[in-house]
Amino acid sequence: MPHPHIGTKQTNHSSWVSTGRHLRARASFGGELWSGLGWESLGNVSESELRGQLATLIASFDAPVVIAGIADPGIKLFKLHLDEAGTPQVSRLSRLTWAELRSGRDLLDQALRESLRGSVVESVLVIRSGSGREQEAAGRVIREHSVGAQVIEVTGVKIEGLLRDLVAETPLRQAYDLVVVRERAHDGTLELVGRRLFAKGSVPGEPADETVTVTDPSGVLIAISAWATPVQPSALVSLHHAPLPPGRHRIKAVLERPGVVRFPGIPGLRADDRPWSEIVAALPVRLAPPPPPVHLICAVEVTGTEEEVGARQERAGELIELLADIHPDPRRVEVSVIAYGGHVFGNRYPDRSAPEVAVWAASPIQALDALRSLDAEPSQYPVGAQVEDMLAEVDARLRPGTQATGTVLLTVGARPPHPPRSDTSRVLPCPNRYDWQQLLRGLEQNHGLRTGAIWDGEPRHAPPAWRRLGSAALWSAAVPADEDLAIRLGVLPPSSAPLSLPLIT
Amino acid sequence: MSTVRAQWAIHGKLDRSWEEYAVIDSSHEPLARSDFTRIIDLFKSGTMEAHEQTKVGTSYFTGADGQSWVGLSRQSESDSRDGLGRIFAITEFVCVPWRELPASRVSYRALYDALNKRGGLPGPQPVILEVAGYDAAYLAGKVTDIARAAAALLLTGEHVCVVGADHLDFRERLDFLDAAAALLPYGFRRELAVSTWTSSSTRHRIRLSFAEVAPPDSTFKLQWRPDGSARVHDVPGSERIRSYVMQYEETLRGYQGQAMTNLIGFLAGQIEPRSFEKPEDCRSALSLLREPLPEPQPKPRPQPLPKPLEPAVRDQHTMSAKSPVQLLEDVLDAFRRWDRPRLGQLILRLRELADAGIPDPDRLSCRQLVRTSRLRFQSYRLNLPELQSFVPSLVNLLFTAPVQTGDIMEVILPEDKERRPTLNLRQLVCEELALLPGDQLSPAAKLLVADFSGRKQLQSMLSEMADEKLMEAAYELQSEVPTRIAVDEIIRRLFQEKSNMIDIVGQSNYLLRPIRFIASGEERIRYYRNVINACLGSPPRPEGLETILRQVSEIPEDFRAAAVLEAPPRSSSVLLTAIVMDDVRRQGLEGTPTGIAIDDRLSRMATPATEPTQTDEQTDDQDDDQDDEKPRRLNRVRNTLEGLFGVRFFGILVFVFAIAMTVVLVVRLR
Amino acid sequence: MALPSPNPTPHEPDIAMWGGVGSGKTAFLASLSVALNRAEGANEGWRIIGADDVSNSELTRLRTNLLEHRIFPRPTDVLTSYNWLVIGPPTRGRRVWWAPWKRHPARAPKITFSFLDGPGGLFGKSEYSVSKEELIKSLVKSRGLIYLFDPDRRGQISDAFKNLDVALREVESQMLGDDKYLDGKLPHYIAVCITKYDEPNILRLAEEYTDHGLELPRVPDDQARDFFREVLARDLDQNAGIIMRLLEASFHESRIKYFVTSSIGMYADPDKGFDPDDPSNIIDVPGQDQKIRGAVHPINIMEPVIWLGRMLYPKTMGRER
Repeated sequence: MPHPHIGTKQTNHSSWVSTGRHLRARASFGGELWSGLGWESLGNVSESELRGQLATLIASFDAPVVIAGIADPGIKLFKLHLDEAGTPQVSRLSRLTWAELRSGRDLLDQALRESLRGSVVESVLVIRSGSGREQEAAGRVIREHSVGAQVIEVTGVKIEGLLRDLVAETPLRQAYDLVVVRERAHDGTLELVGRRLFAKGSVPGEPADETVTVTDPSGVLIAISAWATPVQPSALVSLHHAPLPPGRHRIKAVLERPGVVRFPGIPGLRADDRPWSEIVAALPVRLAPPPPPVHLICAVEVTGTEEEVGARQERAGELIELLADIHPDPRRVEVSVIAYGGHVFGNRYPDRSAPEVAVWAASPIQALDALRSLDAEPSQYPVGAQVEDMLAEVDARLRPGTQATGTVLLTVGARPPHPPRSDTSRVLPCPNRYDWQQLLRGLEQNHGLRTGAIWDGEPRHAPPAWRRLGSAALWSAAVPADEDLAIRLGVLPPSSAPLSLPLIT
Repeated sequence: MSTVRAQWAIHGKLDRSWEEYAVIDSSHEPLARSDFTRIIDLFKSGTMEAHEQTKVGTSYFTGADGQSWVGLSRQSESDSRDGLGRIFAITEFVCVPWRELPASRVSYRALYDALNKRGGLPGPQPVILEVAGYDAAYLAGKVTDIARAAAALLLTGEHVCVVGADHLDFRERLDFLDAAAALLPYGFRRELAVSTWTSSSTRHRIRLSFAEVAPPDSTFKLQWRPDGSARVHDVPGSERIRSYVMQYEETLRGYQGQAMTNLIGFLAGQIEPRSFEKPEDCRSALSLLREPLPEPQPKPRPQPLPKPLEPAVRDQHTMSAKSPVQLLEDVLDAFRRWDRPRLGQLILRLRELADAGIPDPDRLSCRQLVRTSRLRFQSYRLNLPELQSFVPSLVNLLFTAPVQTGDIMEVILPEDKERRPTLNLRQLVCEELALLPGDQLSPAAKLLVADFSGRKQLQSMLSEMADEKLMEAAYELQSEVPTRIAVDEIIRRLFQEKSNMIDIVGQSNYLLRPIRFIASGEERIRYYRNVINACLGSPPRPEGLETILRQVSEIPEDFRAAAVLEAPPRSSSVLLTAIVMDDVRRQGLEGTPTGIAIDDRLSRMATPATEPTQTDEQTDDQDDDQDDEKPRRLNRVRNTLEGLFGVRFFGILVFVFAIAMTVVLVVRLR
Repeated sequence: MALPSPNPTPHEPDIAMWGGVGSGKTAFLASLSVALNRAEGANEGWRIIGADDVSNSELTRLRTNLLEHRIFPRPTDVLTSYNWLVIGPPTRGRRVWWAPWKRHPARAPKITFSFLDGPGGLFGKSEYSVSKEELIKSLVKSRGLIYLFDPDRRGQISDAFKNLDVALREVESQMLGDDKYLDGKLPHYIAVCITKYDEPNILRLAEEYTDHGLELPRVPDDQARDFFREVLARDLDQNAGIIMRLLEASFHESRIKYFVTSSIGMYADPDKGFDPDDPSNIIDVPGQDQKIRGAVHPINIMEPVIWLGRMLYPKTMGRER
């Protein structure tokens, strides 16, 4: 067995000569070690033997192993290592032909140094399947670098293909779990847990399934994590987004090979490359509570031009439609529509005009019909409207022991209420002397009424009365009513962060 | 349609103001805001009530400089409100110096319409109002018994109030007021305040107005009736006044239909200022009405001028009565003596004669007579019916269509351009000519007349004139100033490049003759240069110059000089060719062997100059400054060397190589 | 050119109206035309008619606007005179000593009042104006004055002062120049009317002077002066306080009388009557003519006129204060 020695470097090749001094320096250092240990050779083996030996290696190694395949065309260096998730991986480090090596001996030297540098390479395995002067020389160089290198000599083996096959066939070294979310029993907060799909030692081709609940209408994330120990999950094996509708689903999984789990039967599945930390951070603390029952009272001022009143009807209608569409439980939605106008002054006979309840506590559809049937009336006294009479009407209807939780009063109009008595506004007092502020306070205190308003003008120009009427939300009649308004009014629950992971109960 | 410059003011309140009514905006000069305040105050007709119609009223006053003004106001409801939230009245007021009114004989309605059409009254400047002409026929159509009665009653000096016309639109009321005023000599309008509505509980100064009820005491009340019938029965005061009013009314009643139109036209001519406060002015109104009215003049102007007479007719004509010259002399004499009855007859005969046409020699004599006449007319007499019928007839007598400048030059004298308070006969003729329709005068004659009628007239005439007509005028005019005007205008249009003037100028020999007529020496060259420069356009090109020079026949020396001065770069050969060929033409050598040879030679001389690269270089070099001379020469030497080197370098290389090889061979062989 | 003379008016005014812009002069007259016909109690039986065609038509117009169109008069642009005949209730027939067996037929007092109403701000302007001159002339010639003071003119009181001051100077310089009035005071009777009592804020201000015992609240005449002083004192303008002193320095104290007036009165519901919570009788809509809401209830409108009448024509109307 040739030993690395200064004297053995007898060659005509100029490049070998030029770097000779450097190699000599290293060799003299390593030489002392070497002389004591010597080369370990496994000798000539058959292909099946090699297979068995390599499979054992792949199933059991912990530290990375560099495998040098020395064959007729040249040298290939491979690295066998475990990735973050503990899955064995084989990767080619470099490939050098003899022609290349002939032009510069230090190429191999450099390649080896790079392969071994920076990682804790426990061992180097040299598989030699060719023989010749170059092969011999290369073997010597490898030995110079790694004194503990094992050498296996086989013939006619494609080393790369063999390694890759073996890595794909190896049984799982860790258990694979599906990452799911469940509610903690004591406080309802959400926690991440794993549902075992594949136990340690599972071999590729094994199927598994798990039934989960999808809550986010935009789909669910299927995350597989590998658990090295029962406590500590190792890194994520894979992350996919499955566009499944909300509801319960049985997710089927097949272990393709270590590190790859297939989910047959989910159309539209695609890999998701978001960082896991981001996904975890976006998870809600708790599941959204079920929406409370809602009673929306739309009080629409019907004095004004056709356009003005039309816009008010449209806004109120939009909100009711929204409620019917989005509210998770439309059966718990009630809507009332009240039309109110203006008081009439300057007539000889007393003013008998009063707000008209078009529909009370009806379904959204009935309310929409009632709302659309309202007609615009010309304004007799364009500086005030019967807001206070409308409030009195609402008060009277809510009073007899109605459970008024979730009652929202939405006033849609332009003109301020009449004051209960003459004041500096020059708006004439309400003939019935209703005090709108007092009524409003009473409604809020007695029935927990929330008040919102849609005003004809821009909210920032709204007079104080309208600000008060829209204390929960003040909206412009020029802007379509949207979810934001519904949420501010409290008729829709605030949208919490969606739960993107599967839920188990 | 005529224009008047009117001072203006707006009286009312500012939006949300707590202040009293005031003039809130006005023109600045020459009337001060206090003048406006005073006149508007003086002629207020009462507080404007809710839902009242627009009120239109007239007023008058004398400015600080003694100038008389006549004003018209339009009052309507404000869009905005005062501090108490009340709608208030906004009065738009315009006033015009009295002296400007008779000239265009503005009616109240015309002034109102002009104000209405004007829209806003912005800025400190006066507004220019476009006022329709005095329409006697329209006014005559508005004359009713009530209008007659109102006119007659106004002459008593008392106020007249028409009641029972609340339902009428204010414009109809304004027409009524206008019609009543038209039945008085125009001069009364200088001090006549009228209003389409007054409040009788107000102490107003409106002489003639409409109201719901008439003010108590000494105001005449006229009841409006749908059929317009009214009669003045009870006129208080002395029997004399009473009978006077009745007579005036009765006399007016005598005019109906066309006669009424004529009467209104006649009264509109009575522009001497009159005052209702002066009994003599009122008295003379009736005598004016009683005078035998001048011949009805159904708009005498403009009439087509007679055609020149056929000789046969002419002979027949000379046989009869007086010669035209004698008749004209008689007329002028009658004017001098102001013998009105005789004048009427003579003018009638003159008109007949003029309508029939007179022989040319008579016409020339008549022109001579007018040219030498020293008769002058006071401007206030210009509206006299005699004069108004005489001047058109005289023009008919003196000219035949189309009138040429020569004809006019035979009549007018250069000093007629000077304006004096009085006008002479020639100036009247000139003004009459200016009124003739376009086809009756040659373009040059039009310019000439316009020049005599004043610069303003000339400007407007020029701006309306078509390019061709202008060119025609420039060539035909024999008078320096109008020619100069025409030429200047042509050059102005040339530079504007908007019209097809360039083509026209090209066809008309580049204004050579008119310019020669109006300018000499350097000035003439300057003119030519302008023409050439404008015709060359921008940027000037040699081809352009070539075109010009080819079009000009017999290029005068000064035009040549101008062409040289305006010649664009690289046009020396063009100039040379044009000038030499012009000489060839002048000497009748065109087509002769010599001429052909010269042409041939010229074109050969010009040929290299048309080779693009070399000519460019050469001319560019010529254009360079002298300072660049040395470096340029050096450059040229270098260029030459480089050229030489470049072409022959390879040859030399081959030659040297061959020698070297030979030497090597020889050495080896040895 | 001579200044044109205005159309003559038959009467020199007995009573000249006078007050700042928007102080309610024409409204006062309009209200007067209905006030007399509505009067009850001591003043019952008074009527007003136009003394001639013109005044009759004006009277009708003022009334129509107030009662039918329910609008206020437009701002007065020009001096306007109204000649009205005020006819009182017939006195009881009297017995006389020479024929004690029969009563003389009853006679109704009948006085022609000539009012002159002009634009309010004439004296606020320094420049000469024809109307101003005429107004001064009429103030000089008249014997009774109705001076209207609008207490609701936020920040406009200084105008009122200027108006009063200038006018008084002008009138005094014309009347007191010679020795006719030795006591140095103007000879007029003057009814000082604090107007717009119906305005809610004025009502509130007048609360402590108000007599609530009546159908509609009103400030009794003996409280009016104190109320006037209070109004002036409350004003931020320092000149406000001088107004009263100015008036009392220029006129005999005995010839000044204060009234708190309202042309249209407070609103009284046809069923429920007056409600202090809802007193305003004006429908005030921005951008529209102010309209009168309910029935017109003139307050202290005829009183100043009758008072002036009694002062000016004691024989006809009976002297009584």
